[in-house]
Amino acid sequence: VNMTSYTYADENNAESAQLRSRSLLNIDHGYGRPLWVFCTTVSLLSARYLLVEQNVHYPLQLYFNQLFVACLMILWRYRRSDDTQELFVERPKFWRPITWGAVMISLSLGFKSLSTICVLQAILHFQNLPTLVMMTVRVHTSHLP
Amino acid sequence: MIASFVEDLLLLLVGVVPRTQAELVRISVLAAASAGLLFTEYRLSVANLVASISAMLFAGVARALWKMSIRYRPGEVSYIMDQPGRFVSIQALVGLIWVLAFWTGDRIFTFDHGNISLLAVNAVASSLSLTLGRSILFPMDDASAQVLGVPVQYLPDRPVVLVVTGIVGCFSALLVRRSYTNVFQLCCFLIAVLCIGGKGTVDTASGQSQAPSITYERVNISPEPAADDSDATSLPEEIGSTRVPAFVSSLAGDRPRRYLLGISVALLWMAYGILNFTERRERHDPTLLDRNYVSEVPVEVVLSMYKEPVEEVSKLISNLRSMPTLSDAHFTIYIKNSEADNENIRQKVGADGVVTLPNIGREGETYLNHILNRWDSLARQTIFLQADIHNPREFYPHIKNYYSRLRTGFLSLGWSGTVCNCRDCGDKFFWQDNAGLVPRTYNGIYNSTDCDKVLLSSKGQFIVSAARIRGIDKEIYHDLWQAFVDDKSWAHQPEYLQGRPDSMSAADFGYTLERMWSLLFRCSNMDVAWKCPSLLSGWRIGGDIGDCQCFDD
Repeated sequence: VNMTSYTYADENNAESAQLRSRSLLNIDHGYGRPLWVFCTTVSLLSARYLLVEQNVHYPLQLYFNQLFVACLMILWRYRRSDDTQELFVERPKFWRPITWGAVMISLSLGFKSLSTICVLQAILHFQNLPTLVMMTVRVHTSHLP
Repeated sequence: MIASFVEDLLLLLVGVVPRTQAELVRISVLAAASAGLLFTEYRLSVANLVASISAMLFAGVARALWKMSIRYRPGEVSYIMDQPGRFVSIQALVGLIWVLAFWTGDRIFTFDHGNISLLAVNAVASSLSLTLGRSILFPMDDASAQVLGVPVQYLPDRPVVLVVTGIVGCFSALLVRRSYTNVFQLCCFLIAVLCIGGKGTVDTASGQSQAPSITYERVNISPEPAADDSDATSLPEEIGSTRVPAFVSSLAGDRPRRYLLGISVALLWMAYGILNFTERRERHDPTLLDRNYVSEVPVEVVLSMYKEPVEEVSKLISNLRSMPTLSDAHFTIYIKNSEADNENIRQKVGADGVVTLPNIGREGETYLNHILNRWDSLARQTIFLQADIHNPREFYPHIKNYYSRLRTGFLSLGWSGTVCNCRDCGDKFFWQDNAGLVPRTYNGIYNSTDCDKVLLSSKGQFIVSAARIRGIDKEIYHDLWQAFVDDKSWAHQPEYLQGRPDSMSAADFGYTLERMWSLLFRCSNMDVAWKCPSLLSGWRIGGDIGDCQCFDD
């Protein structure tokens, strides 16, 4: 892949880029995890309430709703941060030669999206939501050395 | 469990993860605890197993690919992560493919004014959750941290798991369609949580972990994109080549916060335990039984038959007769096939009576016909079945587990646990009570408009006592029967059907009646809704015979 078609403006910007890569919202990692806990809890409970209690049994609707909000958040971010425009000296082209890295990342994102849809389907069908959440405990222990 | 298994398997295959013996033991215990958690669940179904297992499977693959990308292509990850448009594009593409692949013609969207604020809250929370952790249930940010060289924060993982589960558990236990976690599941979960904590110990013993620092520190990571496929470098080479900060939260020396967190988590779980194991006082409608009716026949099995193979029906009757509680049952078959040879069928299947009915209204009309014509000669308990029974594998164990000749008043032999709001009744199978039949029937039974939540029955197979059948006015059954057989009734009019297919032999109204049997026989309370295990699970640990039914005593 010709990743050298852009260059980082300077080292500070490189740091900024890496920091930004932690999340789309530039939230410090120290607060990221508690915030994730809060958001994921609200997301799970509201999804359960809508899908099961209120008979809004349309998981894909919830999926596309959050996609719509994600688009708004991205637009909001790019409108707010002028420095984003200065991040790259040369704007990268969208289409690039396919590389293993790009394929792996794209596949990872694709499977993550599939997983999100299945999670919503599982919330609809799994009456015991705590069991569903408990089943994910194993995920928290997996790591690379 | 499955997610991590897939993830570990993939990482093991590419040689990224070496495992120590202690780590393998820990993972084995964890896997056993996770399996125990699932196997002791009492509401398993094919749908929820497929959905949850797929979710974890895909999450595992996603995490493994993510870790490999960060490890071997950190530059590309950094580059792509600065293109959030790509994230949402892929997300939209996957959603679109899903719709195209699995769309069955049913609606996938609804515009619900009443829930618009909650839909907005859910969308924002889900988006933030996906943005921060790149997943709702399975955070991926730790994967980045681990690969980028940040000391893994095992201790904070425990509060994360405990807090999320505790809050979800408390809230779910308070809902109408409440959740319930049994003691074994709680034990399995706590063992699993201890295993998370054990990770730190294992790493310390094997010399892998780094001592947590007191303050935030910078970790040097390479931001340089990989030039091409050939220059994939290992992590140690990349670290230190260029400085990029990642923040490492520290825990040592932060004891007051830890104590406060510990106390909060303990209180949360105490509340969860209390709410989970406390039985709420649910509202019970009057039972309305005809206790004066005396029957000569103890049990009768009513089969609604059309053109099902006679051998299958014979096998069904034989299986039922082999049960001690049904050995002396009287078998009556109603056939809706005018060309059938009744006498031949009676002899082949060993039924006590075979009656031909016009092919109208499927099994719903058959059952109502039996009730109306046999009003004064109903058996003490009647088992209403279709000749081709649903879920045969789970059907017989369900009868064995729950049917009582002395006590059963109403016992559904289909799926249970589907509850709807009386005035806006619908279920996930796209059935909707557009005509307001549920509140109208409730009003007819109880002479009251105080209809709140209704437990729906399914599959058109159930056991009911004569005392319950005769506990309400016969006219109610007659009106419902009339709706089937009168081609000018409201049940066959466009206003009711709203475009749905309908015919006299396969009336759309049959789907509504199938769901209303438990309401008609006054066994629609919320206790049955949450206590009754799924057909697949069969039994609830800590449960009893009363979980799935209403008794007459």
